[in-house]
Amino acid sequence: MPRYKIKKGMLTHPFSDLSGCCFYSTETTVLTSISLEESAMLTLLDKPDLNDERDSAVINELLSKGFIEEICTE
Amino acid sequence: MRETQFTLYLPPFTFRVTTDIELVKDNARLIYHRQYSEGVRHDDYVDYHLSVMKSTGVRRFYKPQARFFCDSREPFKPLNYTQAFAMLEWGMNWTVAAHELQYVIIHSAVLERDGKAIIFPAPPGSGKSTLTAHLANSGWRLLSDEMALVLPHSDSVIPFVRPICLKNRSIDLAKAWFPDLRYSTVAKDTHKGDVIHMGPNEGAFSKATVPAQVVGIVFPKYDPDVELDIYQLNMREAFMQLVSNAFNFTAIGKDSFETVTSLIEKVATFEICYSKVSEVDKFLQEEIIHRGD
Repeated sequence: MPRYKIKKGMLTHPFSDLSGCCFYSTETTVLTSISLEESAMLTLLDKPDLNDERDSAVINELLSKGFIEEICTE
Repeated sequence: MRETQFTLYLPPFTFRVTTDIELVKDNARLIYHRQYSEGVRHDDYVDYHLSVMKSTGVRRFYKPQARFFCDSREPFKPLNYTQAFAMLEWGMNWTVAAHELQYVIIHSAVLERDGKAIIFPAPPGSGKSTLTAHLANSGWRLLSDEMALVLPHSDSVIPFVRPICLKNRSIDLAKAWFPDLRYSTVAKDTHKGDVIHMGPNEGAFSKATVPAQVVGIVFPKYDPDVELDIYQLNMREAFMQLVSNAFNFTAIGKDSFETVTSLIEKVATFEICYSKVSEVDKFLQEEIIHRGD
């Protein structure tokens, strides 16, 4: 099962009302947000269930926009 | 008309305008009143040199046009000569939005009451300017109808007092509400329809250097068929909507990200659908300005 981490240099902000987190890359100027609070997001990155439609959508969104990368385990 | 120059003192910026079009000069003098100064004072520090000039060539005889320049740059296509003052206004907006990096600039109106400011970001057609025109002359202070200048790493918004741009049906409405205010001539058939500019009142100009603390962000939408409909936005929704209205978010980068996220954490954020401005005024005062008093 792949595991992911937020890429170095990405700006993130978890909102205190637990409505989600936003991500911004100063390098590419891409901005996005997800409706997962911080601890749920970190759990998802660590143990994603890619058979779950929602988990998969979040991972794909963050991967495609360059905010996360797969952790090499070898 | 011979080429002439005037200066507009509009804190935090000073504009020097050159024009050979009478209606530009006449409207600027009427609308900006004491902030308008004819001629050139050489001790002035001028931020931007602008010009609105008649087009040249054969066309000027059968379809005269006006051209806008910021220094020697011409960002827009020429417009009909009768729209020259509106063109200057839009050109000033473009100039600030395209060049200023010391503020996070959000496309929005800003109004203040009791030292507390509310930002009203909204796309054209949302009724933002009509709402602004009413509130700015009903006990609220106008900081801007067009852009919020937020100081990075703060919740302070700097005034940039400019006329309120009213379109189509809002023109008659505003003139009926406030017949004694100063209005520009009508620019007909612009890309926004018929347009006039309502001059800010003296109260707004007299506090043109006094910042205010942002306490709320409200995304307004006019709908003649609804009672006041209020939806409290969560922080994530408010953040994404606010950023989509920021002119220079990516140009400033890290500072704007930190400023906007910090602002969202501190202020109340709503989306409202309204048909009566008096209901909006009551809601803003009770739920945002005086909340917790």
